[in-house]
Amino acid sequence: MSCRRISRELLWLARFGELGPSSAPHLDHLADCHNCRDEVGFDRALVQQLRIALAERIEQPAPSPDAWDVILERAQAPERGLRAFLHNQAGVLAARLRTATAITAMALAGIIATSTQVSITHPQAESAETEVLTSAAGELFERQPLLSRVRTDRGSQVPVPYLAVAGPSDPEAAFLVSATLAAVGSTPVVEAPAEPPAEETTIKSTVSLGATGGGSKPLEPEGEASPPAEASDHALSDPSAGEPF
Amino acid sequence: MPLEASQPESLVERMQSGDLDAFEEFFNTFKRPVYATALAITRDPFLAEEVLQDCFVKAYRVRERLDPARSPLPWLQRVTINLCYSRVSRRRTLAEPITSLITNLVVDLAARPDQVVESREVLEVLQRGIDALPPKQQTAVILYYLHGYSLAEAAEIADCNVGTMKSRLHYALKALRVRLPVERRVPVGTAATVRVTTR
Repeated sequence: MSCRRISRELLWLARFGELGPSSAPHLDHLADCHNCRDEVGFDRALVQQLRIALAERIEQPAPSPDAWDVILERAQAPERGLRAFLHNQAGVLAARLRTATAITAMALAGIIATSTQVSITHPQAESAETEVLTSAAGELFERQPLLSRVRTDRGSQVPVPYLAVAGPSDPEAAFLVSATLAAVGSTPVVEAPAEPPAEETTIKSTVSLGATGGGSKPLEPEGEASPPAEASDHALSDPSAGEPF
Repeated sequence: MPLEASQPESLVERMQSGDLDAFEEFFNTFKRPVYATALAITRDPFLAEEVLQDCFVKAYRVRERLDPARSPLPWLQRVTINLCYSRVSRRRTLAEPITSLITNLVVDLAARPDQVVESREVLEVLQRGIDALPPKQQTAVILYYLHGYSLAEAAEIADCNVGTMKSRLHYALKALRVRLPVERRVPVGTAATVRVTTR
């Protein structure tokens, strides 16, 4: 061990009275090292002087005799200030705070209820719809108003299909819309852009509203809106029809 | 005053029931250590008395929260220390008390003049050094070296563990030692020659 380290440990042990049998090596070193003896000796002298200096600070160790009277008077006087006010009015403040919290909670619930919008999406077109929305044309198409189709049979619980007024300019979106409309109605309202027909593909799909009473079960399109059988068969036989776009 | 031996029988319980005589006994029991702490920190008797009054008024107002099974002295000392430092920080500079001015002028003529001067200088340096210590180290020095509390008791009052208290004392002594001039770092009257060690 270095002399400096021993000196530091010795000071630590001596200051707090922790010298014991385990500190024998330190004491052996102390017997031989003059520097360490000086260090420890100075530390003891410093502590002595420190005690004297501290004692000088409290030459008058007791408070004045009037102190008790002042304390008694102050202790019996009613408390003043903000803390005293809060202490006295704690019950009233707590009741008001409870009322205010309840009103705030109700107002918040009302705001949330009125500002929430319910969106109706196609139950089976998750990836395709996402694909359309990512393009600008698809987004433009999404903003266009939809026209409801005239319902012929009011008594029966049938889904209300919606048709787009104009087709999207994006060919992929147009393809999807035309495919869907072909599946819903016999007369397509939206025409796809004039492109060479690569392959005739039809996606069989329906749009249903939960509020009509049909539940979540997809309803079959009625009457003449049913797609041709060969188109459905072709769609089923096409290996790329079910894959994501 | 040791912490454990300073709890009179059922004093806090009687005070909690609103007995003013018990409160007076409570004040007379603990006023000296509380006042000594306040005076050691502030070095101003008037300010120390204000702190003492605030401390005991607060103790009376929160008497229901005091634990009758434990000595209230650690709590009183902690409140005193906090009140002192909040007031001292407001004043920023400590005024030189009249008592210390008189002490500086009147010296003990029985001692040798050179030793008196040396000792006086060292004490002055130490007083300034104590004032310059950070509050936590100053508190540790006052509790351990002035009141003579054990490390565990001082740690309980300062709301820290024993190791932290040791560390604060160590750094306080180190800071005080650095403030002393090199020639004064050898104990007064114990060294025949002044040795300046270079490391």
